[in-house]
Amino acid sequence: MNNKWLIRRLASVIVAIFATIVISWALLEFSPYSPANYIMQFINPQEFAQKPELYSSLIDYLNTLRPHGNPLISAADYIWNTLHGNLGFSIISNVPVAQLIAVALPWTLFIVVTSLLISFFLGIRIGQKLGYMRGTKTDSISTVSLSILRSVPIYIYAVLLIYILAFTYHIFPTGGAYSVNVTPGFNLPFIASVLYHAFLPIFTLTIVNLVGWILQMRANTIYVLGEDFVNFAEVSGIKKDIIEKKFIGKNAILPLYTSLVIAIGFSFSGSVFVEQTFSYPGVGNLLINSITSNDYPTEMGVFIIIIVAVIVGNLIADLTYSFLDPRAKVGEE
Amino acid sequence: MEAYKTLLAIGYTLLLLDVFSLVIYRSSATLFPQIVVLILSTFMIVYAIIQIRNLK
Repeated sequence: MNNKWLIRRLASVIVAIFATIVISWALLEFSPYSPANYIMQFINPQEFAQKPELYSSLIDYLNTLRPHGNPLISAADYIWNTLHGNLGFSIISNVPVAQLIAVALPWTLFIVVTSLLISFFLGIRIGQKLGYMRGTKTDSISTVSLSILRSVPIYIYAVLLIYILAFTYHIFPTGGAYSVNVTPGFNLPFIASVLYHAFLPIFTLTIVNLVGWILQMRANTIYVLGEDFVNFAEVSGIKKDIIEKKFIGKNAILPLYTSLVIAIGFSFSGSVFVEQTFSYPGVGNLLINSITSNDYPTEMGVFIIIIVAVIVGNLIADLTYSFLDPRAKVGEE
Repeated sequence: MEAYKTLLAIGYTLLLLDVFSLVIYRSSATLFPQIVVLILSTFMIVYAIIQIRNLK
């Protein structure tokens, strides 16, 4: 790693973060909607018949929530505050946006990460087995069924599962992150309650991801099975187990790590539907509520936090990688 | 290998988001999911680092 590369990499990170803030500000500042639109629909002018001045002052206040003034000054203010870690206050709940996100984020990360890891490890196992069974009846039936299952949108799974398992058979709760009867903390009843409430959201995300991993791993295994080094290993008399594990599995799994990035993004967007359906108090639910109420500081805060985490995460990974692997002497001609 | 670098980036991103929520808001209700994500993201990072070291 040389200094020139490091400076260039840091500069690109700063530009990317700056662009994220500016674009998120511009998208919402020039949006035709305002939180005032949302609040005004709950205001009945007849209730203010006795006090018309109160009604007009309320409307004046709500109008201040709409984007006003010089956009450049407004943008500069927003960027300055964001760079200082101040994402503003939610217009609807008057709570700091950073706090709202910090409360919701652990629940979303919990269901997304858990479902992703479960589906990944199950998917590579099943996919590898299907790859070995290529051309058989089981493989054909499984591939067709999985392809059909993959085309079903995530919200259909969510609605079906909540209808059957929660509303009809009452096996799982219909919403929330934990029961109101347990004391929050690091105790067994609370942990059991959290896992019980998270089961359906995690299960829904797992099904959708699992199908994708199985199909990808199956295709990769079939591709690797045709490689020369596998034939050579078989001819050399190496045990079948070792060939499957070290020669085929290890090589077939590599492209899937790259797909994990896409899967994480897909899970985050999927969690919006899942959290809404299961009334789970995560970022997806927060985002939907802030969009419907035109609470733009919260919307911008969610976008900025996630994008900045991705940018900084990639930077640290680059630095760690170049430190760990001397062959990756990045930036050197 | 690019694949392990991707895994490393995912681990760091999840860890950063989790640390952000731990720094800004700590309560007994969110502690369990925060710790679970902390463990899983650390596992991802350590696994990726071990694999990269083995590639040498």
